[in-house]
Amino acid sequence: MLRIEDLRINYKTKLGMVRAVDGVDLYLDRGEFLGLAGESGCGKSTVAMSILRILPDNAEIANGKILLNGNDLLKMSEKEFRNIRWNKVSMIFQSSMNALNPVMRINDQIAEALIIHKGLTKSDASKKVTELLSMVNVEPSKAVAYPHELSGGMKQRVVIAMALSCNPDLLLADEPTTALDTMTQIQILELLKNLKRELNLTMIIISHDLAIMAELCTKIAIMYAGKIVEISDLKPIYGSPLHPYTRKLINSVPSLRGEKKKLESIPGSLPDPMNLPKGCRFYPRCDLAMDICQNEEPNLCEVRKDHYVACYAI
Amino acid sequence: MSLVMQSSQPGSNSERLLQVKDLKVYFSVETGFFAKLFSKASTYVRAVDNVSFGVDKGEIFSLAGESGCGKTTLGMSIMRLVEVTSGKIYFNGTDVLSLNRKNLKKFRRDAQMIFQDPYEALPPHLTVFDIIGESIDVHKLASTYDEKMDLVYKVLEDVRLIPAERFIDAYSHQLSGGQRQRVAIASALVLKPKLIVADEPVSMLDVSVRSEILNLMLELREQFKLTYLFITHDLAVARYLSDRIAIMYLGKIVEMGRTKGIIETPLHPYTKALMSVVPVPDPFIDREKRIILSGEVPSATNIPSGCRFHTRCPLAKENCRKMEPEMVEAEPGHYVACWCI
Amino acid sequence: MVSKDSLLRRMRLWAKSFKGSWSIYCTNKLALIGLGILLVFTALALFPQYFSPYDITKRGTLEDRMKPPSLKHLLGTDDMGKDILSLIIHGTRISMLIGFVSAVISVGIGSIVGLVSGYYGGMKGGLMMRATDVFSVMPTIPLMITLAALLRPSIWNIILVIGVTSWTGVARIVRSEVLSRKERLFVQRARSLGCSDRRILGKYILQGILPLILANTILRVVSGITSEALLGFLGLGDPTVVSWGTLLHFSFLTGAFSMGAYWYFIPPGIAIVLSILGFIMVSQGLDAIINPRLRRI
Repeated sequence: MLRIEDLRINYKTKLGMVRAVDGVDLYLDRGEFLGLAGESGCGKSTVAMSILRILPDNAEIANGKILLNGNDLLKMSEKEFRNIRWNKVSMIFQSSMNALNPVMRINDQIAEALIIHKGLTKSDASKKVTELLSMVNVEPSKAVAYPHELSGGMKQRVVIAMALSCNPDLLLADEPTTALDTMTQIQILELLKNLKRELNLTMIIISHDLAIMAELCTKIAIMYAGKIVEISDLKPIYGSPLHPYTRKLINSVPSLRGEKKKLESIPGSLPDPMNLPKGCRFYPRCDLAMDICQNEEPNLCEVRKDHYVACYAI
Repeated sequence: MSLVMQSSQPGSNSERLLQVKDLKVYFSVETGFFAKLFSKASTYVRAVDNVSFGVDKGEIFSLAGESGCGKTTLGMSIMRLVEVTSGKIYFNGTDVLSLNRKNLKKFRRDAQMIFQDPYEALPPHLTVFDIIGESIDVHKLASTYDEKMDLVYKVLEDVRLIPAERFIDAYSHQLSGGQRQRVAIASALVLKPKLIVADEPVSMLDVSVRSEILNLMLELREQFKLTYLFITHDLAVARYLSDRIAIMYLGKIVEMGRTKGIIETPLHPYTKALMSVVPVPDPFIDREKRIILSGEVPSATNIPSGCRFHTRCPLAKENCRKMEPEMVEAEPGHYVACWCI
Repeated sequence: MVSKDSLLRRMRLWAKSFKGSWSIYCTNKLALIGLGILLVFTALALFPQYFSPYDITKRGTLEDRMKPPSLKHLLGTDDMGKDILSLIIHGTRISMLIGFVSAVISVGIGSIVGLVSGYYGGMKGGLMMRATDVFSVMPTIPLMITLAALLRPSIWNIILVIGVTSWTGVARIVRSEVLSRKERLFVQRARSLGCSDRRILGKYILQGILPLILANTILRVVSGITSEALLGFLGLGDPTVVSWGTLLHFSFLTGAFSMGAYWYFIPPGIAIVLSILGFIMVSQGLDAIINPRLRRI
């Protein structure tokens, strides 16, 4: 359903050009939940923003295609794309709860999206709003409330309702539970799981939290410094990670269950985004590094069925 | 609460370094002018509501709970950064709340705090040398410039910020989150403290950096015989690091004991629910049945009567609404405050 | 802990950050023009005798009085036959001096009041804030005029009057900055380390707001120059010294306005405006250096 080919996005800054996304390839079938995992600065949010075409002004798409059901989103005109944004693809942002308009009631805010994008009448819209709110387990009595009257968890649900209001094919979520408490977090995760079942939702979740990804996703892509270094179905990433970075990352997350073992850490630090090394970006911190790694960037190859890794040491 | 004070921890003969007894930290909320005139009771935020616990020398004790449970306020009040409403805090036997100026300064050397936000905690206009130098100057640890420089170099090596020359003249905005946190740890370490209160030291750091800092803290404990009071909302981190855990809810400790016991056999319904909903970064482990609590955490200005958890507790009975449960030792070393055990 | 090594180290650090700041400053063309203007004025203020074409202590001949601009006198002459250009050049020193020193006094008082009332709440702070309120409600200009009229006309009295009546703005700005800084985490941390209040005030708060104080000083200089112009124009300045304000005063007294002798009263005005422009452009340039750091902070 979604196919990204060789996406390259740069940011122009006063200090130089930052290659935020440097050759990303992805594909996603209908009904899949892809987890785009990585640490801050790896480019995952940029990939999501480019799908919705909401990149900041200083960003330029240097190359690539984003194909939604065969149509290249990047080549569409702004007019054509308006039909896509929110109707076919929508997004929940990091700390979305703060993105709600503080002076509008909840039902008005959700209705607004419906009226603008679907051209519904006010009465039809308000019926749909009630439907949507019950779908996300928000009591109908809360519909007339203002955002500040709701708790964090409820606000996040409202935002999810807004994102799903126009029945999009694809939902993007950037750190959907980072700002929430443990209990609220699980409520939102369960909600997303249910929505996936009921609506056959397709989702991309962007997060650094490998624990919530293990709960929710069917497929995981690990990003490092603008590139995807490993991508496969859920279990192999945790069970038998192949890329040295993935291995270290999985072993650096403490767990409440299972055997208690010493956490691994990754020596060194992220490469300077304006001065990226010639070969593999993980080379300076890799314990399997070889000479070829320093000189040539590895590409993603299918090492096992549906399990792609970009590494020479495999 | 004398039960908690007198009992000894199984298998440990160490002295008690920190003892908190019946601590209350209430903040008054300024209501409107007319409300103050006409109403008799003021509204209080009961951030810490009658908490007692002890930390032994050399152990890592975690205060765990969701945001708003009072754990950070508790940590700050132990450090005397927040005023205590009532109760006692004993450090190495001395009453912390009634120290004179000279002894307060000595306490401030023995007890150090690491803060959650590495970006805000370091003064932005001072270099790393100055930041660590502050600790040295305030407590007069060096009498010459060279001595000071030596101390700074040594402590930077201890926290693995090497080569130290690279960091000495750096400003905090030139450092990464993990590096800043190391500088914070260094400026505490140089004083050779006995206790370090760490308030969510890794929650604002990147995933792979967290493990570095956690492992560093473990190593430093071995090397320098430190004791930690570790405040966190992340139960997985608490499990990794601590010897004992106390679970807090709405200003009270509801369960407390050795880490293994709390995690594997939680007794309090809140703890059980919390343990069941923490996401596990391992798709192979079977998920136990999730106890998802309904409702939200009540406001700290309007704490429910009786057991404050009764509004969301799946086991709530009539008694729970009327009387607040006392902390009892349900198993050796494992304390719970619940009527339904 | 001051020793030769530590001083050397500090100076090396200052030099490095100065170089960095300078390159940021240079990216702003207006700021460089402003700096140029100020350098010119400073040169005129320090060494007027080298730049001034005529000796202003000597009166001109009778025919030379109130002459419009010519090749001999680029800006014309005044009622005593003195060259206006020379008068303006000599006036630079006094006007600038008054502007600077009054700014230092005003920022000095304002900073102390702002620091103390911001950091110490309660009685001490409240009292100082009320004092600030009283002073700020007083209309500055009538107050200045009244004080200047009561005191003997002299430069130092003018400086004092301006300094003592214009500190309230600085006090408010400093106080609000101190209030916000006081609550920041690094101040809490300093307290947890055992730092005394005095140490926190000096090292954590004051040192951090120095850029703000510098920016305010420049604005106070501008205000000082205009206040001097006002007081001088009203005849409250020292009549024995030449300043832009007194020039305006004498131009008025000798009827230059009604005579249409524009060369007598316009040049001082232009000098004032130019100097202010110079300061403002420099302050914009400094803003670019201060703000990115503030943003990072």
